[in-house]
Amino acid sequence: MKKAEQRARDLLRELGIDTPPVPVDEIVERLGATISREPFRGGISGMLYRTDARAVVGVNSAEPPTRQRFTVAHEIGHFLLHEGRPLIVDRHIRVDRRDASSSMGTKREEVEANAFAAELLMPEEMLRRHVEALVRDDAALPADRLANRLAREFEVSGQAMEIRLGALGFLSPLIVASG
Amino acid sequence: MGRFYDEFGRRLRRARLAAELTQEQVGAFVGLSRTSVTNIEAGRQQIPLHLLVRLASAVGVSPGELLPEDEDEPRRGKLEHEELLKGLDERSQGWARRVMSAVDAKGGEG
Repeated sequence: MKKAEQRARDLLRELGIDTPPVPVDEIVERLGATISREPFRGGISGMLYRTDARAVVGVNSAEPPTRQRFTVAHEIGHFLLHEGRPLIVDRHIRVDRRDASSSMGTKREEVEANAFAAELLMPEEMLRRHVEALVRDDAALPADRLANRLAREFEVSGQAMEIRLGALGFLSPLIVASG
Repeated sequence: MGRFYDEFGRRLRRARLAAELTQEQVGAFVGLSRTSVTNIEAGRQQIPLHLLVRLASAVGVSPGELLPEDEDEPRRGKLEHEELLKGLDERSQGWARRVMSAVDAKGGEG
């Protein structure tokens, strides 16, 4: 897990990205891969297909934009962390659970790709700065409204942001402070 | 085509040098002049199959080790992805094919 998150941090640093929203489509292009969006009614979020010559990130474009961003970030994770797999099709990438119900990758790979995606879209240090700025402006900001404001800035779903804030322990001081 | 023989020549040369043989020695073993061996290594001469086998024994490798990969990657890729898609249900296969072909249609050669 640490390896996946570190890889996401390294990538952001290499590309000089330090403000939200993280441009995931642009990152795919800069890594020399191509994005292909096709709608699908059903339980597929995305896929990664690669040959020696090319890599394609497939995204289910029928899903909400924030979900699509998570899918792209997740596939970038597979691309950088799991070489040697020519095709991975991801069914319903779960933002909310560690036991990703997927897919053609192994369970460990899905967990790693999710950890990578969370750090890529909501990098811990970037998020900390934004939490601190918002709390400085309004110390009485309720946790759910804080999560929503941040979700808009980072272009992720409110649910994904709440989970991320919780996982990083960023919400607990607020709850203590307001309680 | 030219690329194929260039690469074949490079592999032959590498194997010959690894075996510490001269072009004359290899030529004598397979019944060719030194100049012919030079031409083959430079990719200038397209050799018949039996000579591939002879050259391979001369330099002590299997014929396969002298042969370049298939450059027709897109076609090979197609066969491969049909194989890969077998694990999916039909609708998912359809979607995955659309994803792949949308990119092919954009004509990305790289």
